[in-house]
Amino acid sequence: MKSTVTAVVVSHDEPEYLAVTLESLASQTVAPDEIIVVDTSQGAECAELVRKEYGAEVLRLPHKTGLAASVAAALDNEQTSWIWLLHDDSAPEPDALERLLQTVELAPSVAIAGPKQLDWEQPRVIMQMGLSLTRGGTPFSLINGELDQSQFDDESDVMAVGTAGALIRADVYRDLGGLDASAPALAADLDLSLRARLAGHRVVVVPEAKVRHRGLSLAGKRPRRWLRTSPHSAMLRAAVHLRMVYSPLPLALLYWLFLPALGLARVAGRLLAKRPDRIIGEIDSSLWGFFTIFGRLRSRRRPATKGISSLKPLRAARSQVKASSRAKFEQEEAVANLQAFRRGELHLLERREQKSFLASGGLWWIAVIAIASFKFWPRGVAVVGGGLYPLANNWLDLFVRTGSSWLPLGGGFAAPSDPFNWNLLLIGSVTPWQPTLALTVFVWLAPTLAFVSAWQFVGLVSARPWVRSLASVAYALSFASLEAQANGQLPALLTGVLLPLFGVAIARAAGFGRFFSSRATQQTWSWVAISALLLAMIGAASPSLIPALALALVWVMAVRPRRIGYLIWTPLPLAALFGPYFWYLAVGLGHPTAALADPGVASDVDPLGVWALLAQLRGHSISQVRALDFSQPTAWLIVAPALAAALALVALLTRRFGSVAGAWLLAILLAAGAAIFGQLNFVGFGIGTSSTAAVVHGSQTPWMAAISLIVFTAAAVTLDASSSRGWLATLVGLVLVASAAPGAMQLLGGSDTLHWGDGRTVPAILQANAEQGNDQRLLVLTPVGGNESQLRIDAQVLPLTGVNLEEASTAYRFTLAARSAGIEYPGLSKLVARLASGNAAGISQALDAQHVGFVLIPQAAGSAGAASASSTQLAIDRRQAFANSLDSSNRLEAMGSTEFGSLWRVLGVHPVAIDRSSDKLWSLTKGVQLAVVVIFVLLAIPTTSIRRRSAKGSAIFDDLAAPDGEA
Amino acid sequence: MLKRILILLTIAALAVATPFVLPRLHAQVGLLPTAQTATSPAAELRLACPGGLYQTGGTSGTSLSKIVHAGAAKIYAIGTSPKKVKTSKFEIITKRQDSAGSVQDSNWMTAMQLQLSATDTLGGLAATSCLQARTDSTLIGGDTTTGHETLLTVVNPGKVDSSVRVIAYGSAGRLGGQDLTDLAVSASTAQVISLNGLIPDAPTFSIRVIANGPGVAAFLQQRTVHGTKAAGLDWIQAAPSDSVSSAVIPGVLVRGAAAAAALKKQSSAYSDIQMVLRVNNRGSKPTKFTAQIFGEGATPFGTVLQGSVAGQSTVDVPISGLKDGDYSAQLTSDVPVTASVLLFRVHGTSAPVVDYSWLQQVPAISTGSIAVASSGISKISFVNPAATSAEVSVRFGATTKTLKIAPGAQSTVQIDQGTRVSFEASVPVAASMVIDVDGTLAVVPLINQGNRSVTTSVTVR
Repeated sequence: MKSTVTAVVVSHDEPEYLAVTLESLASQTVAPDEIIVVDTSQGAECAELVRKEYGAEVLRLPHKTGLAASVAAALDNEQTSWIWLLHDDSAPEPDALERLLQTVELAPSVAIAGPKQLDWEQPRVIMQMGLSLTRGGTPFSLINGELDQSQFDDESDVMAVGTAGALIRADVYRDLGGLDASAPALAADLDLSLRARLAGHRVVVVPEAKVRHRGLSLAGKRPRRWLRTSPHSAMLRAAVHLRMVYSPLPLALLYWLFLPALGLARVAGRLLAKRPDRIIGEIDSSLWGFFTIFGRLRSRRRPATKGISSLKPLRAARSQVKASSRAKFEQEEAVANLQAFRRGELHLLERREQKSFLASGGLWWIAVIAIASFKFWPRGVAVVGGGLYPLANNWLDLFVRTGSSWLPLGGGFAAPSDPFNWNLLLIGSVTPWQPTLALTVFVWLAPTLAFVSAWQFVGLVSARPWVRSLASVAYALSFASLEAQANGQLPALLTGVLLPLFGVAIARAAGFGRFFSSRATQQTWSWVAISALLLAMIGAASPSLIPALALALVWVMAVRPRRIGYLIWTPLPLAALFGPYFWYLAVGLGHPTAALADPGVASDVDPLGVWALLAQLRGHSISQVRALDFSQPTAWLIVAPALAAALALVALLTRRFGSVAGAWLLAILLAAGAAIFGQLNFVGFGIGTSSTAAVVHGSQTPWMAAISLIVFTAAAVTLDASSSRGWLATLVGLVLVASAAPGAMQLLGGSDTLHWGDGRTVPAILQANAEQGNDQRLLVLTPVGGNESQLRIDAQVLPLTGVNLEEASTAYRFTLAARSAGIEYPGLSKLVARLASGNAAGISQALDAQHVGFVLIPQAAGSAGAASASSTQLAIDRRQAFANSLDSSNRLEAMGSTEFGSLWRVLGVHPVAIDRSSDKLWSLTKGVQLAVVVIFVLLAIPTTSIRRRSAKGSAIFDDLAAPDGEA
Repeated sequence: MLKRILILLTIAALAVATPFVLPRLHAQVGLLPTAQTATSPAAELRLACPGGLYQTGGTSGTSLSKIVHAGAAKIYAIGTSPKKVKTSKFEIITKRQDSAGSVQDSNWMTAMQLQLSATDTLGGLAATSCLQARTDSTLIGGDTTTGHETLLTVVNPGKVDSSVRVIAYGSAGRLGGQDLTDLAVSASTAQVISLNGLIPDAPTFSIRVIANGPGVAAFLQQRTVHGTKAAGLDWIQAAPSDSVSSAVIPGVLVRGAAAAAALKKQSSAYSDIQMVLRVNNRGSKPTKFTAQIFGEGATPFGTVLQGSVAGQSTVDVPISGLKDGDYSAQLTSDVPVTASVLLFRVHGTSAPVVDYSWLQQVPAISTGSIAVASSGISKISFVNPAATSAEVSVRFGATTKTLKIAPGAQSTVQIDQGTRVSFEASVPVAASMVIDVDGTLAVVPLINQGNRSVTTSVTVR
């Protein structure tokens, strides 16, 4: 009996491709016996074309009809030996059918024979040559994007072939039930082949039979209704379908049960692979699989004689999958480089050897600065003083206060915690068993880290190691860094360390700088994510810089409009961390500008003017500098850093005067911003140290760090430009060194403000009480002044563990005014008055209502320089009188003097239970913030491919030359 | 290059000009919390008196471990219906706040106790103010050399037990180690210990009493025996003021100077009849001090003493050459110190009566009251430590006397027996009442102990 072939062409709104396909079909050396065109187009153009031009039979079906139903309709009542399936975008070579038929005639066991699918535009490139499944059950194209040099022509048996151009034995097709209508479009071909395989038939690819395939479906060129989702989602749905249909039932059900969780894990994987564009597909496919379980179960009912394990040899090897992924990445990178080349962004392609940090002697500098910081060596677990308090005792407690909406201050304070707590969490995570230790080490190493960070930044303008090192050392020893370190201004200190890194990251993400800019999508995403995280950290530490950073970001986007698609995501983590906090301050309290206040314990520093800031004067205004006695060496130490500013000005005379001028404009803007910000007075009266100033100026230290970075980088430009002349370079280098000398001396001098201890902020007995579950509060009463008729007292109601840095809430500072007028604090004031007068009447109820279990009168602060002996004596007398009053109460039992002051225990406490309903480990805010942070962290982590490329350097022409063999 | 120079000049000009175009804001972000003002009535005023003199050895004088009262002291108190609580060892006087008053001070209630003893072992006049409890008291005086006995009495008038540390500062630092001893003083009880056993043969020391818990009132009972004859007696009360750099000791009323000198010459047993200035420095740094003894009238100058005292130490500086007259001591030092003057009185020649009193440094006050003993002669010595003249109006009985005291000068006024004296001064003055009963001597400082209704301005954080 003669074999008959019926060609079934499925057409879907692509008349141009259909015409080519039909042309090819007509020119076959062995023509099919019958050609059936199934048209599911929305319009009539395709059907008209077929009828008029080719006179073939057209079967019109509704446009929503899928591939399986289309083929089934075409074969209805059709008696044929072989079915040749063709898509409207698959044009077979003239001898394609002949080759396919030759193969199946020689091998009767073959039920499905697929052609070698070639690229439509570049027929020398193989688009597909057989399909398989990875170990994880994902459809995998065995050969993709390879040049056809007949190197794969000995391939034969495969797990599956695509339907485009596949010759299928009609009886087997019918026995198998045809294409599965329940399967997603991109799984239908694999499914059919798998069923054929499992039924004992062979599926082969015939390399000699070639079909050009445009792959419109996968390229997303067809209307969405064809795949019913995006191509990527369709591919993922196909994978889900195949796993659920071809896995053993228990495994399939288990897979289904965990499908949403697996979807999230795969989302993480996509982020790690820097493919955020594929997140939607992962979520879509997992939800689709989860909610269409019955469709998958229906598909499982089809008979199979063998298990899927019998096809194990035909599965794709791990090495094949890995090689394929790498090839795709390199292809993308090559395309990106080519596009950059076409755009004229030649600097992105420039490759210049730079010495690495280690090769440049960076470790020596690190050692020198770290040793010079010996006065800040962690002599105890916790460093306290200035704006520094210990962190929570363990990581979990720190996590609870991060992104939380409740603080144990007063009777409980419901408001978003400071975004800065995320920074504290990050630092504390380095030593999770004792988070404070990491903070202490950070304070010690901050100048060292600032050096490393600045070294990277200066690399944007100079490749010379000694230039980078000198400028970076000068930055690390700048007044802003060291002042923040000496005074325990952690936010400013952190900003000083992170700012250069942010500069580097944003430059790489935007394609600025002379070296090391990103090219591949993955690399760009990585830098964007790093920029975003650094921006969030800097913004959380120094909110006053946010407007300036936002302006800078807008400027970057304006200069690099092609990168807007990436850079637009940069502020997202900052917005997530800052959003609830800003909303509370702006809408809840009506103080939007309060969001600019520095987090943590407020400290006041006299603001400087524009000139002093630009000249890097060490905390002295111009008028103060005028008053200096320059016969004294100390006066020169104050003005020496101005030499760096002078060098930075000279950079305007170099070849890079354009960039330097832009940098100077930015520095002037920053100085102006800092001068204005310094004029703002923020409420500083909050929880924490008793010496907190009531009102503090806006802190200029973070601004100064930004200005210093610009000035020292511009100075590096001068140094770089002078390097061609040895004597000039030496002179300029010496000037830069001289400008850093005062900083070195300050570093060696250490700090009078900081001291190191065991991390407790309250007497040990309170800590022990808290650890035993005592939920009472500590009433801290500090006599702060007044006269004989009126005593001024600061009162704080704290948890028994005292105040940790993460609890020094900025929002609380701005809420105190409203709270003091509420119902809670007047009662507390009366209690304090009773205690101060030694009048015990009525204190019992008040103590209970305030949950007070202990009362502490802190030690008198050491006499400040200006404080007279009499005022110190007065303070001691006040404390003594106050202590005597407390002693006289039979509700208070004196527990003696402790290192934190005099302590009393309240006897017979019957506290009202504290409402802790809001004190939860998790909150919606925290969940969202953490999710955003995790997403960006995953995006930021370099993938293996990127690391490999970075390690080898990037050579675009190596990549471009290979395909055409022109190298 | 010209272009670059122009850009440089433009940038420099921009930097120079920027400050001139910046706005002046000085705005405050956020509101400061309003301090909550609350007034609380004065606490119950509670004064503790040590009670009758103590005698070591029990009533028989032979039970070494026993310390018992020898007679009873008479309490002179001012105040409407004060409540007296008499225990076996001491007395507490309390006065509750009434609805009208908001201040409880010496005008409201004050008290002193007086006891004249003339036994073989206890001879002399002993008086002391009844004191409010304090957590830190310094007692300047005492002598445990042969013939001298010092007893420490610690009274806890409160309702909560107290733990007390006793520190002794000798001439060469602390005596008896870091702490001389520790005492547990239960609520409403008193503890009496003999310092002769703890710091034997110590001619110079000061005692510091630190209460860990509710405050206590501390007193030293000092007695002297020459051979078998009692030769002086005194209650040394805790210094009314803390350590200061400028101290005033009023009431140095020297009488019988010639008799004293004769007595010393007559017998070496009376060699201890020597006025001294005792200075205690409880700080850690050594200090120099200068004490001026001012008299009254046209030639006020008495003598000048200079000395130095190491940290954690006590020194005695002899005061010699003073003739009979009314004096006061004014002391200045580099660091805060606490000082007292040992004043002797020798009365009679054939069978001279010897007595003494430790005069404490007294804080300056603007008003004060005290009840006057119903026997003997009582005089109040005022000292004006201020830089301006003081006008002091003294009322006792139906009499009102107005004293004008020049800066740094002193003035003495005799008060009628059994009256209540009160004064008002235009500037704060220091005052002590000197009591002479048949040649015996006691000096009680006028101090304004009390509790105020406290108005607190509380800022809650």
